[in-house]
Amino acid sequence: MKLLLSFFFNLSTCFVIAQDHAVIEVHYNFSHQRDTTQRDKMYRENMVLRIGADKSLYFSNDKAEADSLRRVMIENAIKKGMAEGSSNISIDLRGTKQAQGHEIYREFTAHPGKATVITKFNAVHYFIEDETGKINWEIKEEIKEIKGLLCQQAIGNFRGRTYEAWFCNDLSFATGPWKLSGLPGLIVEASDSKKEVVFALHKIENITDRNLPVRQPVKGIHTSLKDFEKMRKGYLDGLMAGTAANDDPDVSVSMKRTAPPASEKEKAGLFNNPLELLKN
Amino acid sequence: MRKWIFLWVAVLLVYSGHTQMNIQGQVLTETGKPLSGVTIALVHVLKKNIIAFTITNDTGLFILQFNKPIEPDSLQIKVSASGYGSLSTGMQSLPEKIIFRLVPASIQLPEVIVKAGKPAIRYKADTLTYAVDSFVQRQDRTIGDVLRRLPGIEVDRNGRISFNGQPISHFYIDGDDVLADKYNIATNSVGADMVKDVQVLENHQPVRVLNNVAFSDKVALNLNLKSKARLKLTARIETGGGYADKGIYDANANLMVFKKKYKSIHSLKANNSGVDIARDVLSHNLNDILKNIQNHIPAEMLNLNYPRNPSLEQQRMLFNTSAMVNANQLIKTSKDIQLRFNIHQLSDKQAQSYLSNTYFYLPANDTVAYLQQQETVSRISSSQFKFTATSNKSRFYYNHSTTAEFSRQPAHSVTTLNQQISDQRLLQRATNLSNEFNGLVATPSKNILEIYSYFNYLQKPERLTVLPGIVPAIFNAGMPYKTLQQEVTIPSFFTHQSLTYRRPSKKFLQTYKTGFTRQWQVMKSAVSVLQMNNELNTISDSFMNQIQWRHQQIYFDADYDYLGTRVKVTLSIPVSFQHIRYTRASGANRLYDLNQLVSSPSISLKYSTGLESYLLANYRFGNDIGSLQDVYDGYVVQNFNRLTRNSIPSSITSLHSANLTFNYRKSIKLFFLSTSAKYSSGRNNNIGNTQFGSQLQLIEVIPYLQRTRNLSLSASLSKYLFPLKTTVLIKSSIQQNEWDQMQNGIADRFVNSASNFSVTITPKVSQKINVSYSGNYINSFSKPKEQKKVLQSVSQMWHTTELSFFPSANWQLKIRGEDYFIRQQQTGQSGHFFFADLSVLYKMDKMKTDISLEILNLANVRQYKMNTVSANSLHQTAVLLRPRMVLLKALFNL
Repeated sequence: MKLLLSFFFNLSTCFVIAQDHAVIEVHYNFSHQRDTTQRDKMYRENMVLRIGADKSLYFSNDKAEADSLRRVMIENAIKKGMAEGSSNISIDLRGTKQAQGHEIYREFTAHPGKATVITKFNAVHYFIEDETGKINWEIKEEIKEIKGLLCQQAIGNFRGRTYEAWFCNDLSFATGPWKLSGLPGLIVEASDSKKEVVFALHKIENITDRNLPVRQPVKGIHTSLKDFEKMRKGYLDGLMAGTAANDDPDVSVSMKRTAPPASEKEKAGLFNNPLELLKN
Repeated sequence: MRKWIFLWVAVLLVYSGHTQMNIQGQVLTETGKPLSGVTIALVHVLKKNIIAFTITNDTGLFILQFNKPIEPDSLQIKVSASGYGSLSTGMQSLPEKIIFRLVPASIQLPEVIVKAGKPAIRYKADTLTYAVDSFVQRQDRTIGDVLRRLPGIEVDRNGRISFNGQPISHFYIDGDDVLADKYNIATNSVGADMVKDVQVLENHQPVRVLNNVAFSDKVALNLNLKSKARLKLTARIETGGGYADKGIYDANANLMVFKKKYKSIHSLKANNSGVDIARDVLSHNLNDILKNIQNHIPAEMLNLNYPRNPSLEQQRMLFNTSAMVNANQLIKTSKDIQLRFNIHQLSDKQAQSYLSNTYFYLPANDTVAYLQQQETVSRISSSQFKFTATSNKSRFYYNHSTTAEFSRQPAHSVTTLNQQISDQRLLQRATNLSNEFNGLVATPSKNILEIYSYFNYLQKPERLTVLPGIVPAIFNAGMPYKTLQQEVTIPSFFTHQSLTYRRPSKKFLQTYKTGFTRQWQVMKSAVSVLQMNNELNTISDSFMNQIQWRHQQIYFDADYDYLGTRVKVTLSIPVSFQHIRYTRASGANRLYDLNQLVSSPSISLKYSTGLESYLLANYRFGNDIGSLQDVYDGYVVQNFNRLTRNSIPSSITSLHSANLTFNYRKSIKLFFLSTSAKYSSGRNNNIGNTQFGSQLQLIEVIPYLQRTRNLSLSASLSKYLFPLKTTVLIKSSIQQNEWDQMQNGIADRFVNSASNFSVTITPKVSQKINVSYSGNYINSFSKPKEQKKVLQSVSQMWHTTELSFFPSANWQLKIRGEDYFIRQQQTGQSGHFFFADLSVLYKMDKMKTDISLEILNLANVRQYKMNTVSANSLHQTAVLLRPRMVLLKALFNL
């Protein structure tokens, strides 16, 4: 019987590794001073880093929640509109949170110096290969405990900012939040020297039992950042000119928001303090 | 593990300059493949900090550069990569190029990392919670489909739910017992998408007054609904039509409301497609409930000599025309009183057609054979009303319920037995009225008083008519006659009143119970013959019974419970004074009196071997004084082939039984194991002697010291395999029964043995394909106790495979195959049956409608044959099956 028992346990754990399912999820409270002219306003978002044995995916938890909520609201509004026979459907999206659209996928053992930014534009996934390169981390002697984990300090420069990172060698995943990585352990916390960008640890969960995959969407267009920006600019220009009309002329959908979405301002380059101050 | 790791450390250090040091090397897998992205760190053993590190490149190579250390002895090189075991080595005598070989290992996480917020299963304080979303598959429609797949939970063919081997005692929906034990309607109607969690409540105590006072080993199940299911009325209407050998219809309408103060399940069902809707109102724990009340309800005495039911899916062989209205309502008043109404009305017509051969192998190569062919049509119309009022508060509890049941079952069969044709008509009616009251109150000194009262009135008149007049030599002095008619009725009145006093202390509970039961019964039976000249004669005294029966007992029961942290002990010592008095209208021993002091002590010990495992040992010595049905001495014609009577004054049975159960589980790993061994040994003061006549069997119960012995061992293991997204259920059991059998006045001791092995697995192969498989193997044999040689043995094997395929979001294709194989070893006879079903479902999301096309029994298999063995007899049964059926259905979710 003991043999049978151990057989079952072993079977389950071995498979988990083989299929590279997610092992842990690290939840970060991300904050960013996007606009130095408005020092009192910090952009905040709850981010998740889902990690498997050799892959990780960084995404917005807020977006996942907001998406599902928005989907329900839109469906309900459309149904209501249909039921009333009205072709003008009004959706009140006030109160739903705006969130970053892109995700970052890494194969941190196979391609340590590379990140794939996954972004959805006009209902198509784009995989933007970003050669983040090796951050020249300087390991410090300082050690502190973060939520029960023993972490060590490292300092490194990345795209115009000097980051102070805390990594945990007991979690041997060489990855971290956003595009930060390349330390001998998971980056649990990180912030730039001006505290304009902060990734603070909220919690780490063992999700082995949940059987979630770590992978990028199957379909999408692989591209470089340059080509993507070119395409996006071209498309937005076209949109202004009215080429991208609603598919169904009989139904007009209007959405209400309290303020213009933050992303519009970002697209228009109205923020003066982006995450990446330098291209490389 | 150690053996696997081949680590070479043969070594050299390269000095470059005075202060900079360099270590070079490569990291490989055990098979020699280079590993990239592996961290090589120089770690201070005491301070635990990293001094320098590097990461291997695509070819697994690395160069670790660092300043010359002051204390090289305290440094270690640590190689780690997630998914592999980590390695460490000292700095002494390193080779020029150091090679590390890493072995795959499970990822070790520091203990501080908590489990994710919502795992598939949670365990807390006797409550095991399954998150339905983690287990549901796309083809699942009702919660019953999901329950079948939950690790640790099992649902049998009748819909009875068990948790780790133990049947559930209560079924709740959002904490409310809406259905009063008849929970099949919920498992078949509540949608899988309506339920958030399935909760298993262990050591369940339904009475709040007794919470933390009385130890309970009951298990209950609760469906925790999603909030959207609580808000609105849920209606599901399913209608279908099709063709088999005639027009087929199937219609269901379910209306469900699950609000906090009001819950209801209403259903209207009708079909002739082979779906047994009477199962919706099956009370799973009825026997236990009656046993607790000590109400011995008289069994039906007459029948149409049905064969054994084949172990086949019922829908394959049920020729029915059924309709049922079922209404269940639960209302909570402002004063925390629950009012519940459960009402149903069933009308069912079932037809059966079968061949049944029974062979009795008697000593001296004498074989008695009954070759029977029978066509039966039976109807049932029954209604039940149940009203319950309950108040369940922490200091006070009462429960009052009134039940009324009426049924009428006419049946008709045409039988050819050993080439003689007879026509039987059976009419069974029943009226069953009962009233139950139970009240508990906690006194200020925390002691608990309970009062219980139960009354039951039951009448079940039965009438059997056999045409033509059988065996004139016995029934009509050798003269031919038209028909034989047997009538029997046992009106019965039963009451049970009791008073209980419970005295709890910290670890010790004393329970004292006293009460009385009283049963009045009158048995009247008579056989009459209709002569050729239409004159009706009642046959003489030996075919008549008129017995007045009274059975009363006064009892006193002392129970002691010890509730330790690991050990729970329950000792029960009931003592009852029983008095039976009956009078017969005629014959010898017209008045009989029996006074007896009876005790049925029991002890139960539960030892928790761990947080989620326990060992349970039970012993009981039971004593039972039989019923009126054990003592009637006038012949009763049970069916056209069988006469029964008793020649004993009373039946006394004693039984020692002992059980040992070991239950183990690991909720977090979704692993469940239950093993049990049961042994019982009994004595009985009588035996049924079967005498085989050419046209009749006569069973007469005579005084005899009969001993029985039963042993059964069983094990069941259930584990959820995460990579395959399936529960694997493996069950095995061995059962051996030993008993005496008397035929033609010769007693023999027989051993029957059955072993069973089954496996069920329901993997999710991909997003588009789900598979389920279950395999079952049974081997049974019988032999005389004194002989080594097996007299009879039969093996059966059946496999069921179901493939669900989802080509797109709206389409669903299901193929089901069932394969049955039966073989009888001695004659070499075997049977092989294969059934295939197909269904296609299309979901119209916008209209909340599903359309499905089902084809059942594609191969149009029309007959199923089965052999069973028992002692020295062999039964061969061949049942007519439903033909190929095509059914088009529409399901509307409103």
